[in-house]
Amino acid sequence: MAENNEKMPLTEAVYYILLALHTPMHGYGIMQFVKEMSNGRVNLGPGTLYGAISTMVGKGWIKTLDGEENSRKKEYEITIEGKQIVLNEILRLEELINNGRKITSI
Amino acid sequence: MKSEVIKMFIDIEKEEEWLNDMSSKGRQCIHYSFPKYLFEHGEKGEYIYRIEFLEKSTSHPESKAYINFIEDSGVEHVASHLNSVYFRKKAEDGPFNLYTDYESRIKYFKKMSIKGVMLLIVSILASIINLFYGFFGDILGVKRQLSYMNIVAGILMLLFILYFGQIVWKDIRRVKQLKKDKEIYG
Repeated sequence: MAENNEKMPLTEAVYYILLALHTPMHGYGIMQFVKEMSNGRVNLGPGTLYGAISTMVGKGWIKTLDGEENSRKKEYEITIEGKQIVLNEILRLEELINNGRKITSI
Repeated sequence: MKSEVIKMFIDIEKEEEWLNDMSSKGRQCIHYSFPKYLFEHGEKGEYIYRIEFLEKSTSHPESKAYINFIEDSGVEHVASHLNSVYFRKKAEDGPFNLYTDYESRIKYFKKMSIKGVMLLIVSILASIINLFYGFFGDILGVKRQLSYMNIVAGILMLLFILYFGQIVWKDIRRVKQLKKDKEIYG
């Protein structure tokens, strides 16, 4: 069952958050990073970001970094499993693009 | 210059619309403590307001962690009331929405719908009990007279159910629409 899920498309938000977290970052940093990377196209709402982070920590794709005690600004970082998920997604996206170019000759 | 407005809302979407409408008129809400809203007069449209209905009370640690996270992303926490949290962000920073993809929006409105339906069920039961007691008296047979208080309470509850039911139906329809859109746009 888990294997099937690994081949499922990620949402843009999740994909970009995982890319961002190849460098340790906290919430606001992730939002800025994703906005820049996507040339302003992907604007992560903080509520969406919060939910996505919780879900991904639960799945073991990202982890929280031990910061100072009682620090409100938690930092996150991608895990090995997370990196694998990103690689799978890139392969999936390449398949989509290659087929798109073949058919439309763009 | 400051001003106060006393107003009560059942529909938090209407409440949010109202706060943004006030903002566009130059009155920025800086605090809310049921049922008083406190406004500061300033630039027209300076802030964008969003109200979120949380799963748990705003005093719950999970809610507090969420509010802290939102604040850390450059959003101002204006007020809390029961399960509702009031945020605002400067309009010059760009559009402000807490949830920006289908998945998280569906999740949010689903939770709202469920809570709404639960409240409706409780209200319907309370209404039935009140009306029954009002018309037929105590089942155990002690009282056998019309109880006007209970009838009035029952009718008021029915009115509430009709009004609130529309709001819940609106949320349910929105979830359906979002799910449909998600099939196309992902």
